[in-house]
Amino acid sequence: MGAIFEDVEIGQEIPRLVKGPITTAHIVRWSAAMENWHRIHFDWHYATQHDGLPDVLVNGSWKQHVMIQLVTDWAGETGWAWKIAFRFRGMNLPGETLTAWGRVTGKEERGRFGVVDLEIGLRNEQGAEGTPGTARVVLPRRGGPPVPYPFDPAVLAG
Amino acid sequence: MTAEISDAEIEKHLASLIGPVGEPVTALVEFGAVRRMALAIGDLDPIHFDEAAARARGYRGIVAPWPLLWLYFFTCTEYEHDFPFGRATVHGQDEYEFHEPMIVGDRITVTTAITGARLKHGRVGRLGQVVSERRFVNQDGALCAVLKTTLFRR
Repeated sequence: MGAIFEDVEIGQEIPRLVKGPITTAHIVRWSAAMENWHRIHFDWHYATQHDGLPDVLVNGSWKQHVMIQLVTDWAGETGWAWKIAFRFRGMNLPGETLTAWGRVTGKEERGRFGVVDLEIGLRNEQGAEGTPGTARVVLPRRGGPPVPYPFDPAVLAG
Repeated sequence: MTAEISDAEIEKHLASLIGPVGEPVTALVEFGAVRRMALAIGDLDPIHFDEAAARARGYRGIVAPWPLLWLYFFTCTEYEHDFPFGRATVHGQDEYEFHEPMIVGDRITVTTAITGARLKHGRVGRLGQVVSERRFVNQDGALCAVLKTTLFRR
């Protein structure tokens, strides 16, 4: 179903999500799905010769999605992944396997619901953190109502 | 040329960017696009394919994965900015806020604005920071999502 506010502990890790090895086919499929035709994602000569990159790059938005999936999976059907933010700190290349992870950094009761803050990230096999970020998730309280759909932040006031 | 422009001129240029960008654009949430996006990200939750499964979970219809925002980002909004300084523009960070899910058949209107632009001085010199905000609203006027994107110019 999804996480319950009272069960969440600060410092707790949420279940990880592993993707990869990422191939150029994954990158092109993603680029096509969102119609991003920037050549650094599919044209090896352009990426390496013109932009001086080591290879074509895994899309930043794809990396963000993996972390959105991580957080929405954890929030489950009764919670709501409300806010997510990321910084692009490192590039990722074909062949890498990426692990999305998250850790609870704070929790607060808000009305009939609970708000949980997490730090999140996406590491490659070498442990390099390329996309650090934060997330804020609204969870139901034990015995309380599910987070309303569609989510309106005003429910946190009552 | 770029070495000669003053900080004041750069700040004036950056300030001129703030405000709406282009006109709002409306796009249809298509089933094929939703399915293709779900497959591209390997998100096999049936709410992205199967209307009955989505309705059983309380949704109005088949739910678009949130990254579909990027399809409307690329097809509906302007993203190019000219800078009279620096050599490279880098996509630095993104911030999302999620509200009403986008459902197949919805008409999503994207409104874009530059909400912040400033010049900073970093370790390696001048750094321009431009924040654009895209608001995605459905045909009923419900806010679906807000995406803030920060570009760095250096």
